[in-house]
Amino acid sequence: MENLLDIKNLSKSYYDDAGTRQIILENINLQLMSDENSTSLISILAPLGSGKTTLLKTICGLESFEGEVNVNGKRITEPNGEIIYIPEKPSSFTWLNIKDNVELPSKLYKKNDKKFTFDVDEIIYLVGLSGYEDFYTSSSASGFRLRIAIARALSFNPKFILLDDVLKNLDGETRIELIDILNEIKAAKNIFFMLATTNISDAISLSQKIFLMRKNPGRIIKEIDISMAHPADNSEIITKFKNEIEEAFKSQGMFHSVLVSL
Amino acid sequence: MPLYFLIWILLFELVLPMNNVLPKPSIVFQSLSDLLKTYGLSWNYLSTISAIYFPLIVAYYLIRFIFPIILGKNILSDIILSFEWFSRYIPGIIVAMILIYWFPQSEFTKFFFAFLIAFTSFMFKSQHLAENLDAEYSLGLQSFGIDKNTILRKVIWKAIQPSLMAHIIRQNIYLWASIILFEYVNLGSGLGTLLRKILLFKDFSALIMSFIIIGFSIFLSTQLLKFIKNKIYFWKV
Repeated sequence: MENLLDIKNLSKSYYDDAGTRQIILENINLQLMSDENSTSLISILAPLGSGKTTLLKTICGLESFEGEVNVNGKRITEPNGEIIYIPEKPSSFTWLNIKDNVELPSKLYKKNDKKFTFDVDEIIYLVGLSGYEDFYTSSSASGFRLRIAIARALSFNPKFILLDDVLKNLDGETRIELIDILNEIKAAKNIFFMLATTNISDAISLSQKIFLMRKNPGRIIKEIDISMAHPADNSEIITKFKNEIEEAFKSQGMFHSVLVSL
Repeated sequence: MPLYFLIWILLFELVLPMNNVLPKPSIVFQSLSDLLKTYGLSWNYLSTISAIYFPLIVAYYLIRFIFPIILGKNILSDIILSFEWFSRYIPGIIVAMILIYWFPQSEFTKFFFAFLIAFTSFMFKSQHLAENLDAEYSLGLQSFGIDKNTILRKVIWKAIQPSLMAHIIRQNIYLWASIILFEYVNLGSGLGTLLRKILLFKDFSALIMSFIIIGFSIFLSTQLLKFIKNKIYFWKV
């Protein structure tokens, strides 16, 4: 049984202007086994300022760290296109239409070891942008930007897509649409998602597993397995998990108000 | 603008008697032939236009080429960007004076001076624009394994184009003013030299005609640059 994702003793710190060592992430350990392939989305649920973004950036090699990150047994030391990071406010390249936006990374990628065999129309369909292929996006359309960013990531056929609190800036309707899209992609593609979020409901409705993280320093405090088909429409189960999450944070001296509970 | 011309024509051609405030429009337009024959307007105009726009185009493409170096955070970029201090506190005309002192009446110096103004201005502007661009712009692409150099050349450079173009439009009149002033002092060729000769001869109607030609040229070039910005660099970031 092989580790799909294996994070060992991941720590991240820096020295501030006064020369004091500030620890952002401390001894993060996170394992997902290959038999957990049915688990296609996990969440890192944590309050603001706990180092979620830093954790995601270190996982895909965008930032240096102490410790070890392995994907399918391969150590990650720099970005390699197998773990794609989607920032909180993803950019769309407004001089390109949506189709060209999706194809951009494959056009810019210069290493010859990767073959691109994606169907751009299929990807655009998956993110719900069929019919908009030739449209140009304005910089302010956050829902569009996120769909395009997901489509761009899918074009690389990565092992992991890291979503950095991407649902936070969306209005109610767009948010629901995006949650549906993510669930459809999970069903259609053999890609693993990791969502960093402050929102308990998003974590419960999307994830099969939730890792709770505390702040100062950022550390994993609990792993919750949500072993049900889809809990979004079962209010009793949602309440049970919410209570469990809130209890876990309280036990760390943190109040659940630091998280969003919609 | 056409309204002011109309008022000028009505007042100074038909209503007011001859005076020293503004010449009669008919005399001003007659002076165009003097400007062409006596003052050599065509050659001087060509000299000024080429001294403004040739260095501007060269500066733009050179910045495009060295853009990753400027943003590279290395010793070379530090040296290049240290010149910003000079551009902040030393007016261009001082540099012009030194260049004129070193190479009097040299046409090449005029081109070099225009290039210096355009190059430093575009370089610092493109650096500031790129640094103020949302970091997420390149972060998302870096995780694809795309190297920073490619992201800078193909994405960040592209993203800053509308703002850089807006800066170039604003710099257009400044370049015109700087080159005319340079020519006025240098006494080589160009509209600045032409204006100096006109002032020496106290030819008021030719002076007004020159102002009309210069003003119209700046207006047209600004409109052309705006057209390019709207048609080619139409996006918003």
